[in-house]
Amino acid sequence: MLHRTARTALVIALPLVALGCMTGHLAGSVSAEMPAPIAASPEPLGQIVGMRRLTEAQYRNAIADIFGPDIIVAGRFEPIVRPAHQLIATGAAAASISPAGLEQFDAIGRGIAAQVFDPAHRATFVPCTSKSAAQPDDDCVRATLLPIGRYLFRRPLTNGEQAAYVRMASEATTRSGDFYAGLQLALGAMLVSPDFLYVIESAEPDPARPGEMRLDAYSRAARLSFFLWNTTPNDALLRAAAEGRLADPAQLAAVAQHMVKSPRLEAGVRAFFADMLMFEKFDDLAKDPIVYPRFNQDVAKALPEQLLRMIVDQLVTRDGDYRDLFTTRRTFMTRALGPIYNVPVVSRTGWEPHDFAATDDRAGLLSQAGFLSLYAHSGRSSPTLRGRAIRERLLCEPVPDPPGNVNFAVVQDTTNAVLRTARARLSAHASDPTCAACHRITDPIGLPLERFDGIGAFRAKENGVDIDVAGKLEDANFTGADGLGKALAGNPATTECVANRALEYATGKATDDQADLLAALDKGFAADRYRLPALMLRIASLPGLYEIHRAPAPASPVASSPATGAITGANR
Amino acid sequence: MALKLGLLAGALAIAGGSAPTGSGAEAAVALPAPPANGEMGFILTAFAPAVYQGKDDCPDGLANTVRENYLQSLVPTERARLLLPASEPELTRRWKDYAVGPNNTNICANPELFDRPIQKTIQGKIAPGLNLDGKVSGAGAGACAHNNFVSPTGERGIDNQAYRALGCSRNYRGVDGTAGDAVRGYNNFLATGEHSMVLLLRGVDSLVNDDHVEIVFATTSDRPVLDSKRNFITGASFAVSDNPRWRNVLHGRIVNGVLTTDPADVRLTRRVGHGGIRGENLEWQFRQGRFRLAFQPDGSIKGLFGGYQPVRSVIEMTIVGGIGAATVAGIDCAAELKTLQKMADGLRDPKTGQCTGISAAMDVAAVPAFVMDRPITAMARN
Amino acid sequence: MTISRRTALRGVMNGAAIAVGLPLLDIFLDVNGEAMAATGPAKGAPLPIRFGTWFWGLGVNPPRWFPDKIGADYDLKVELAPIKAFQHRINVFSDFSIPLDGKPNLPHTSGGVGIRTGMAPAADGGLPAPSFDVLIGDQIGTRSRFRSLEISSTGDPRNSLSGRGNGNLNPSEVSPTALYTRLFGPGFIDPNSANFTPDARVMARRSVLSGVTDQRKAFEARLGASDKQRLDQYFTSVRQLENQLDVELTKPQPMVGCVVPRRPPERDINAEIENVMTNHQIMSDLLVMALACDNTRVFNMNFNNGASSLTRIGSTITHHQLTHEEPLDNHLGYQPQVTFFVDKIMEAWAYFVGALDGVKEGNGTLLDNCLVFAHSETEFAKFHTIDNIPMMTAGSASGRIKTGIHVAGESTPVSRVGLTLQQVMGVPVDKWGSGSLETNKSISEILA
Repeated sequence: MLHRTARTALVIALPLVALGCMTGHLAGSVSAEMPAPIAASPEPLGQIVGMRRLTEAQYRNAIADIFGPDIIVAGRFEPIVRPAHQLIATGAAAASISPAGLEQFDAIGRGIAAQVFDPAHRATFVPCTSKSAAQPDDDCVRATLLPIGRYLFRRPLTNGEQAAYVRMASEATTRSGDFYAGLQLALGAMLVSPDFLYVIESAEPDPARPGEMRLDAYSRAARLSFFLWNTTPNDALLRAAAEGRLADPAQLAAVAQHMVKSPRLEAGVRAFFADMLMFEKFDDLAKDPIVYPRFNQDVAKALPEQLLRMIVDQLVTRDGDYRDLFTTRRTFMTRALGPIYNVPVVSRTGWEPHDFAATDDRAGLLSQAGFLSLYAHSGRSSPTLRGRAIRERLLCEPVPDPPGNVNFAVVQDTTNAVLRTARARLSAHASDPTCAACHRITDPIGLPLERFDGIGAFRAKENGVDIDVAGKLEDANFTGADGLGKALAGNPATTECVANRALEYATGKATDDQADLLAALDKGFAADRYRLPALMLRIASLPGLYEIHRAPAPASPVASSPATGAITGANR
Repeated sequence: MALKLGLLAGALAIAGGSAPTGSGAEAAVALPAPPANGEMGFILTAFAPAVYQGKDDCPDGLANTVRENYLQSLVPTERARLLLPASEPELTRRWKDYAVGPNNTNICANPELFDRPIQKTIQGKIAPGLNLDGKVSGAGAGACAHNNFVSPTGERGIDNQAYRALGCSRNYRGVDGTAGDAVRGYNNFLATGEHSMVLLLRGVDSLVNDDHVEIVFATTSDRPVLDSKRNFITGASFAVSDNPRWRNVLHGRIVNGVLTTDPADVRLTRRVGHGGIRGENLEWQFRQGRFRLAFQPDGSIKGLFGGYQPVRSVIEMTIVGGIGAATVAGIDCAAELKTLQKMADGLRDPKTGQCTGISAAMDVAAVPAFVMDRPITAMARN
Repeated sequence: MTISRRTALRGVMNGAAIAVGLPLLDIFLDVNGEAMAATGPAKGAPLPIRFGTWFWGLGVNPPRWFPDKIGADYDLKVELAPIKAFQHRINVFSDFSIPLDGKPNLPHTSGGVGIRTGMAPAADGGLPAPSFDVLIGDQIGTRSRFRSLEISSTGDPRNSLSGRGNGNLNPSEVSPTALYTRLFGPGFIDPNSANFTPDARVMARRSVLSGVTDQRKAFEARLGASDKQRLDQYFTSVRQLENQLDVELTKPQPMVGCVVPRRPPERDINAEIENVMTNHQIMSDLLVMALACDNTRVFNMNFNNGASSLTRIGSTITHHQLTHEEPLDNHLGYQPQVTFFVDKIMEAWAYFVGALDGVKEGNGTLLDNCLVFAHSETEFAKFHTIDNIPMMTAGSASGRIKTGIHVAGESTPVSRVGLTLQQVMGVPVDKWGSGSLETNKSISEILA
């Protein structure tokens, strides 16, 4: 979390490159003179081929980058619905904004606008002095709102938009007798506009494929920025778009490479895995305090952070092989998690690296308490939930829901004197052949993790009986979390899955019709020794990522697919 | 310094149920092996005066409140008059005035300035504690003659004069044979982190018999982790205070599952919310302090800590309560101090011949934790 | 006559402060009348939602007060029995904690301050942060005659947990006659009088939203069918927001419950329990009428102070003294003399809730349009415990929260209560509190 003043808000020191990744935004680009005039976007703007609603994290990152991290963003964000077996990124491409959601966005936006133009901050964002404190001053309003609008809408405002917002501010000033009140209202309106709340992807004719369309420059800038850094395009990216550098594949690849090398990649990687691994479930994580007295809200807060830290460490900091994510013994500890793992934690605050011993049977992502807690019940572990999560999250193999009329009594009864372990209860429960069909896919993968209880703490026995941790994945037999991790690392579906998800994440579209592209990506991933930043660069540089293809009419009206018959641009 | 508590993994499977501190043979059977590196850390869940609820301990009733002491100080006719219902406001005014002195002093903030009668003391023969002076009767060098108690398990020569002095107080005794508020109040400070304490045992080769063990008994500023029932969670990490004053090293041995230590001076912080006396934080101070702790099958330890406390410090927490302790809770601190001074049996001042310390015993209980000694070394990386 | 809402409003707004002499005509309501549906038979702005607190000192006897059953239809133990008639409109909260982060447990202070500010105080002396009733008042109280009203029935003006912090504490009114003069003397605003001034800021926001809607055509021109539906949804949401603002610009419906009461007689002001009970009744009645007449929408009623100085007639021993001095009778399970006061306090609370329920408003009563938060500053006074402090809400805030539920906090921070109540009352906040009291988890059990 950044805690700096608005003037030094943009992050980290980077070697100065042509991209100039540092001076990203308003708060960082303080200058006494009026900024150079920005050419307006031409009207009409291009055909819209995608509208991707900002996630809460993207919204907050955008505001922090544009206005500085000291601007408080207070309010509740309407959640984006995740389509079954897909990412929130895909859901965002289909997400609408309900009245309650807009009400919140409006309150949040007004709160931001009030701060941006309050006496403490206005000097940073208003590059001119209004002719009068109580009268409209269209020139000064224009000089203030144009740069802001360019960042918020991720492209320069059109002349029509400029006029509209200037008029809004000026009328408000006249009515209230306060120049800054007018600016506030206009900024509040921008923050509630679809141009801000949605990342609008628009198209232009593709010279390489006559009659076809491609994403225009600003849409590419947005895609790169949200995919790699989970935030809004900075000044350098916007200028690269304006100067046409993003239209040329080689130059675009160079831009993408700089972005991948930046420390800001960590934010993108975190956001990607939070989506791929369904981190929103952590918000609902609740454990029975009688069964698990060690589970408290400090633990709940720390669990997702531990997962993200070890992921970032393995894939970004060490630029390691993705498959090693399932076998690495390196993780990070904070004081709250010590009692869960039963390890000493030296640091009183913050995080410290921790290496599990070879005898701990803790290896990789699947033995982190966060994963184990998430896929367990409130009062007991669950091999089935864990097995299913591994299939769906990490191998991209959907598992059907249980039928509606299942009797869970046997498997839920942890006090059964005969069936004392989960394994025993599950074999009794899944004795019906219809049940076995699915359980056969999930349970043999989840059972090796049974030495970790419902909050991920180690236990050698359950109800006095030694826990059998034999498991099976496809043709591989193994024992324990160690064995499971190695089996996953050796399974080709593991790397194919993350590549698949990364493509879906970048485009906001399901990848069902992209078999060829995925095959090429898999090959490239292997050639890159399964390094995730390399994969992200590969995806970001794919010319195909920016091509718009006509597809058959979608089955459901809300499925987001590339623009169909509306390419002619005629009104509908 | 990687601390491995192999003990914990097995121990945690069994919840509750602790073996009595007595017979060594049973303890020996129930106890597991200590960890490979011989280090065991604990966080204290209890450190409060040990109280024994005997039937005949206070035959004349509980120690007087301020109001009762005031009434006792009057001639009988005056006393009768003030006890009439109509006199209640006057009585209240007068007994509250009885608690204050000139220049803003009062019996709790300035107990030595007021002359109050000795309060009712424990008359029974049984009390928990340790034999601090090594004698069953009489007084050793540097000590003052006093009666000894017999422990609840029959051990003779128990020195616990602080308990004799205060054991009939309302907040020690409670009513009808259950522990008073004092115990609960003392232990709450451990739970809140205001003055939490840790133990770090080193060189433990066996939990049953070991002829030398080093014990670090220290303050920790790290807050204990509690579950929703306010029980301490095991396996949390604590750092020993970086104030060397509050890190005490003791030496002892284990015999039949019971750890005892040699006498040593012990100081720990006793930080409370009221800000301390004259701007300084309070302290626990024990001279010739020593442990007797028994290892429990569930991994915890419990027993006693005994030593000589400077007389005034026994009631320091009440003193800090000032006028409120006197007029709201009705505690006559001056009477308590006088009684403690009379019962004092240790740390004799050679010049005055007065004993300035008083024997005391604290109930101790602790559960397993990771304790990082000072200075903290970086975690070993594999 | 074809006056569109938009042109009329523009005309209205071109001038300076406008007093609309008559209720705005029906044509200014949305074509879909439902969008402006009020809670009562009259059309127009719905009745305001009020927020208040009711504070009592020295807690309860936990085993005799807290229900055993969690959820709806909770059991009423003997000390909570006085609320029986209103049980289904009262939520009970148990097992919320106040982690102090090493700060001292200041007797009779840390608990109440922690609940109201989301921060544990480091030392005695005022609030360390704004109390959340003030934050709610900033949201809903800025246009009333009084931003909030603070009252104490034991005669201590410092018996208040409301303020902005850093030395600012809203003092409590202690005299029934002085309260009467303040409320119903000169300065009283009759809500049913003809003049209504729309809020200029709301008018400005309304105008700005029109500007947003103006962009619709330009957007639609660029969209394919699938995205058009989502854009439709977006602009429908904008329309809803416009409607809400329109409602705020409309003259409120008449407050039929508003009746100016008679001046009460002069009363002794002291901490004798029977006198306090009477003063509490009188001042509650006055407060209720102030709410019914919309002279305030936020209130803080303090029955007694944290270290309660209540006494019984003929005795000078205080409630506080008894909690510390009276021995706990372990056979009974409580301190009998202390419990006398607890019973009186719960009786007073039931009276307060009943007084709010006695005013008809819309389809229900004033209580239905209120959200009252009752709390103490300790769980069990003898030991100054601050975890599991007893708390309740009464009223449903016009249906925004569910009622009649016993919520179990499972040792989560008590700031969740302050966060949730702020959110219910419309404060834009996603997280609240400091240190270990910082939380973003609302109490979903009561959200409607």
